[in-house]
Amino acid sequence: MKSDTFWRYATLAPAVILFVLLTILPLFNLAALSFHNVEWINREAVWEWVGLRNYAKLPNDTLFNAGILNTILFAVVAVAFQMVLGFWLALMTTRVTRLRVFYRTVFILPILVPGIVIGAIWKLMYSYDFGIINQVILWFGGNPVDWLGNPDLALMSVIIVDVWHWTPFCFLLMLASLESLPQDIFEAAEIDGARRWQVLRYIILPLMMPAIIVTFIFRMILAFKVFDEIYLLTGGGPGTSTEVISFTIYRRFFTEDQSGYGSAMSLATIAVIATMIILASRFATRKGPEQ
Amino acid sequence: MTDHGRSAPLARHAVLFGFALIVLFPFLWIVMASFKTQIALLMGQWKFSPTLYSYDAVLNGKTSDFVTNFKNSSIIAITSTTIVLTVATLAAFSLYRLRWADWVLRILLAWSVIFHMVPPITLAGAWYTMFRSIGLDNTYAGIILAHTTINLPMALWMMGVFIKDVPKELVEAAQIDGAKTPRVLWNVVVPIVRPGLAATGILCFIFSWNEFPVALTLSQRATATVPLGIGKYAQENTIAFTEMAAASTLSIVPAFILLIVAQRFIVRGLTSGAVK
Amino acid sequence: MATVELKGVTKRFGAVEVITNVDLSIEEGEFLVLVGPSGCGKSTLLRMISGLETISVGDMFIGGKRVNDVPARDRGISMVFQSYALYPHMTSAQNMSFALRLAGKTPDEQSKRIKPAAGVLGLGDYLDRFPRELSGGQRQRVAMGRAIVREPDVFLFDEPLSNLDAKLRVRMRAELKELHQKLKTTTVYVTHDQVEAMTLADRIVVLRDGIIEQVGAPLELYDNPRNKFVGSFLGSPSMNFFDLRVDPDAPEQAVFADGDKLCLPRSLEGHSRVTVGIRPEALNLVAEGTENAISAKVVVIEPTGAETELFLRKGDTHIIASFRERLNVRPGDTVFLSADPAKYHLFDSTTEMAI
Ligand SMILES: Nc1ncnc2c1ncn2[C@@H]1O[C@H](COP(=O)(O)OP(=O)(O)O)[C@@H](O)[C@H]1O
Ligand SMILES: [Mg+2]
Repeated sequence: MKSDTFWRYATLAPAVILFVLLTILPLFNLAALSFHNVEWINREAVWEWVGLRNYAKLPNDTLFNAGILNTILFAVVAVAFQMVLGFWLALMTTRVTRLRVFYRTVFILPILVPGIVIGAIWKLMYSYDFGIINQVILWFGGNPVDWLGNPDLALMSVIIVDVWHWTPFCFLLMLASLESLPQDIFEAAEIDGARRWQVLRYIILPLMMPAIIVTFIFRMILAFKVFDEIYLLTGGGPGTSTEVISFTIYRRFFTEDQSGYGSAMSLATIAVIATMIILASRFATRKGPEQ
Repeated sequence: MTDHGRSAPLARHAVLFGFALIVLFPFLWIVMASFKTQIALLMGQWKFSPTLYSYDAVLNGKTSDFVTNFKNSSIIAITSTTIVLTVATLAAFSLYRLRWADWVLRILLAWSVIFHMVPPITLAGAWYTMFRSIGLDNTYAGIILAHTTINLPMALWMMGVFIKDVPKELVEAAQIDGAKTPRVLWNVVVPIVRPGLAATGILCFIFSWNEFPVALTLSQRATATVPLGIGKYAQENTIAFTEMAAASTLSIVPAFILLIVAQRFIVRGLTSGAVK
Repeated sequence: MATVELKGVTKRFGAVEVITNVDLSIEEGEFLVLVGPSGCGKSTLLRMISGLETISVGDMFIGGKRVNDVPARDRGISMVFQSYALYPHMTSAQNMSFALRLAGKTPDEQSKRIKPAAGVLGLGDYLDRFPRELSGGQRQRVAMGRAIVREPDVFLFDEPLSNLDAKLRVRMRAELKELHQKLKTTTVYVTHDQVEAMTLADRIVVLRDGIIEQVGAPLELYDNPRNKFVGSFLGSPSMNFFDLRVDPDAPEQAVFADGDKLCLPRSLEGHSRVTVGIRPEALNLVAEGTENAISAKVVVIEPTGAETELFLRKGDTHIIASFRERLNVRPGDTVFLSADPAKYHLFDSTTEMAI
């Protein structure tokens, strides 16, 4: 029994230690940093106490405000499109059995590709001068569009990239869920005289709700982390039009070397995002089962 | 019978095929671009004579670090995957088969979920500060630790799903047969969850390979990973587009090979672990 | 071989007590069966003997040695699970030799131990197969083989036959009994199936809600159940119970609601009511007016070939009677049944204890 007790602790310890050292300790570290201004002199950090001043600066930081707003806008719009498109495509293409492996390979591919490469690909395609998109527009006789350089378009362009990137994933999950529904239910509904939209509204949607919610939450979490594509496509610009929160933190903390202020921003972001995700999933799960 | 779209089978095939083309086209486009000369690309030529010039520049160019990046990414991804698989398997086994009190399980899982939700860049600052004060900045160890931590929640979750599938009686039978805990794990549980280990390992490897923001903050030139190498192209004043395309193409190769040879593990991982 | 002794053993899961103060001593070489309805705590009790479950209160001895704090692997027991719990990635031979391998036995020694076990169980041809390549019965045998090769002091079985079809179950039951006669290893066997309990056991322990209701040889329990529960649990079809009024003027007589009377084997002075239990096979068809006869209406007749079972109704009470011979009765007929008063089981109507 002694040996058993030892191994019980020994097997769990590495994970706990890793979590404590690399997630909990850093949180305290961030908290400590956020009350200071820190400067590095000869690899020595020099801390200067500033109290709550870093937090006080946050509400007036246009970058931070833009970052929060754009992140929410980006996540909500992109994920909404991905979910609806994925669901619709799943409905449209269920039971197509030919070329399964090919399709699956194609649809999984975008998930496995580095975000930075997704950015690189679309940087080429969006290029004002030689991008394929503008080439096609020209070919149809239109005027080339500055997809990434126009402040009114840039965020939409970035959202399009994300929709392209993640719709296949949503589609695969929706399809798997749709095809796992028991077939006799549809037959029963047909016998009951249900119309197509009624089958969709009263049978397919409620049955698929768990899969929809899971996909939604999974996507939202990832969307709030968006960084790579933006880093490569627009660098947050032009102006603050594609500034997202991860990028703002990176900029403040690392590019501008404001560790204290960046830490305050990190903690504020963690608080905001955690609250939103908890609220959203609460709402989603409360909506879900009563269907 | 699911004839909801009321679309004829042919129309369905067309929709699906069109969708696949839209997804695939950008990849084809960038592969094509990687074989073009800069001029052919800028002129928007469709007909061009393929050249390996960009690959040569990426792999052998004096100013290109891509080979180093590739080596760094390999070292970091393989090491962090090995560590995270070990840690997660031990912990999942412990949590689900060694009778921890309920609250231990709940606290650990809840924390790992919360941490998983938060953008890693928020902690990167603290990691940077901490690593720098102990000399781990710009080392493999620092990035490996960070990637291990970032992948731990997913690995823990997935291995938990797979280990919960191993009947409790098997563990008990092994205990009665005289196996102590490490033997139970190594001789009974691990052989059974091997497919799960493969699925988890592949995803962890790919995510570490692809990870950008944390690697960006924790490394400099000597330890830069592949995504950093590609990111650098975009920062130049005149972007070497074809080289960026070539580097991008090369960077996808590992994931692509895995997708072809180990697709069933990836599918299993994505469906039963990552999202379930 | 070893004795097993439980003294005041209690098990709690959180606040729920699933085993209450169990005293039990199992002799060397004995085949003891724990029987009871599902959820009564049989598995929990067995798992406490095995060491897979800790003991909340009380002491456990195996071979005279207190084992409360001894881990399962050091208790000298082996266990066969209901699901068999075969290692799916090992062949039959590897499954059986795993414990020997862990104990550091050489491959030679291992096969020396596997061979006879495989021979006894008829597994010779299946040694190199994986569990998924075996039928249910063969898996069951491998699981037993795995238990045997360890040469344990005590065998523990947790419903080992429940996953087999009826025919195979009967055959494996016989093989199990034969095996025990050959090896004479102390055995604790859990089942919810009273037929298995009756046929296999040297002694039966009837368990209900974590409490031992009665311990004894199968026929002893069958003939003298200590309470209504044991009476109803053992025997198939189940014992008939009649809740009757004791005639205050003639307390050796019990009266049905419809006026039929039973002459009890002894006087029940001081009791106002009594529950009389009569086993289906104790009932005989008799002519109207016979002493101690009760009338009942035939509802269903089930001829099984060897036996005929009658489902009858007397007022609100259901009665089952079984006969060796074929009967010439029809649904709706009113028939008269009687039994030898010596075969009546009398229970107190409120405490349900035998009187
Ligand atoms: N690990 C456990 N935690 C809580 N309750 C348990 C546990 N194992 C068994 N029980 C409860 O103990 C009771 C007895 O279970 P068990 O011994 O498996 O019954 P049996 O084998 O007789 O069907 C049941 O009510 C069961 O729900
Ligand atoms: Mg049981």
